[in-house]
Amino acid sequence: MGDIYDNDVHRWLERESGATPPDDAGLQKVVAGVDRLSVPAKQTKEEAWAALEGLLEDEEEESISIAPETEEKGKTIRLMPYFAVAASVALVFVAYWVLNGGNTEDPALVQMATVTAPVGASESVALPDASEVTLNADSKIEYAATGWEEERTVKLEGEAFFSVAKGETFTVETELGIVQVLGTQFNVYARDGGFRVACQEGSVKVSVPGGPEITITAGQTVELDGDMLSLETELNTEEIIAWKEGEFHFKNTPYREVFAEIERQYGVTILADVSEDKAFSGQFQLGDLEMAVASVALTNYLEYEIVNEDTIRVTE
Amino acid sequence: MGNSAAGMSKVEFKGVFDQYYEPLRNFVYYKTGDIDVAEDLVQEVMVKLWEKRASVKLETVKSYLYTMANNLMINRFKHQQVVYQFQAEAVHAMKDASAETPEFTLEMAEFDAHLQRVLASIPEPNRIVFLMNRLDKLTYREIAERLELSVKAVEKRMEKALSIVREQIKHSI
Repeated sequence: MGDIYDNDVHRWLERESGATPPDDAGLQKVVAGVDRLSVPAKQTKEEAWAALEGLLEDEEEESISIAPETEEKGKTIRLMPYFAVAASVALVFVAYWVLNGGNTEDPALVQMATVTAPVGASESVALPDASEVTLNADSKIEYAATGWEEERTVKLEGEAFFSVAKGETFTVETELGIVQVLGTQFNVYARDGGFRVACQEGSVKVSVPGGPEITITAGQTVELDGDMLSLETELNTEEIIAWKEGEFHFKNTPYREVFAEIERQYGVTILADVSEDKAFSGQFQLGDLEMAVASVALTNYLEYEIVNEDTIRVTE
Repeated sequence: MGNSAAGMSKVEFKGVFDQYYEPLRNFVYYKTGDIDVAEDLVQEVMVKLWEKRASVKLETVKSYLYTMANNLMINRFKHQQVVYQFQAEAVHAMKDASAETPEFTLEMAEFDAHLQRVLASIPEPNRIVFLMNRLDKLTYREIAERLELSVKAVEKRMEKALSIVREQIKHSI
């Protein structure tokens, strides 16, 4: 291939001044033919802008802080709209340069990107390989911003749903276990000593240190039970992943875990005096806080009391 | 928060729009062959960018835009065979009066139609890069930055695309 596609051809293709066209009439004709083409746009750029401008929310209105800490002054608990997360996302790029000695071309550039969804908001982020991650509230991922052609690895703390673009092995590292996939959709929950992976599409390899690798396929969920992974059958994957739509499902889940989810979603504190063996089956919807607490508590005849705008007490 | 260093003002946003609206719309068209989809989707991407302006930096905005457009496409549209309907600029008689003959015009139309089918048949990664270079007049480096590839990878994709077009068109030249 090197014979016709040498540097001169590339310089010519890049329109460098002084670059000479290749001595190949066919190639010239093809390129001239392509260059006459244009996208059959229906709107001009100006028309598109006019249409877009009406959709942009007012700047002032948008600047309302939705971070729970700064919300305290308000009289009522202001529940954050599920998708109004923009202002609360800490998208931090830490860049550092590693010069590889002797290489006068591009110095290798390693950029670590950290994306955090704070308490009270979820966040979607596109990874460099076009995979998409939706972070549940109070969750964090970290990844190298470059080099994704060679390696696709994300570190996760918390819970996230991954929609992975086809390609080389994609790895999710958590404190307790590792998940590896080729291209699929799956959910990883890794917090408070719990580790659960639900596969929605394709197949996923899950492993924990010292244990065998388990492959699960669409519709299956695997959970860390003690120090062993076991297939979880109580909840279906649709229910597990429904948090993305603001729906939280539980099946025989200790109340401690359920309350922790409410705390993360609403940025509130729940003072619970509920015995450890009490478990909850059911769901709550993101929306009104009291409704969420009520739907969780009243199922098991627990009593709740709204102490103040960010504290709730639950008793048996 | 609106005044933080990472945030983007409306003027800056308009600047981003002016610079990227057309190439981004074209990018979606190259992928889908559907102009309605391309225009709608880019509008959506721009609205998302506006909503996230507090956390998006100007330096990373271009790859953000392309990644976002790509993701929305992946999520919304099932992949199907792309059929292009590019507009072709008429070739005017330059040195040769024969260029105006009906035969010539017909020949050109056939050539254009064939060329578009050939373009659609190039594997997507190579096709996108090739069209970005030819139609959006982007340099390899600019393409590399937008798609987060190495310049070398862009060069390879260009070569692959060119050799396919060259091979397919050979018979009709």
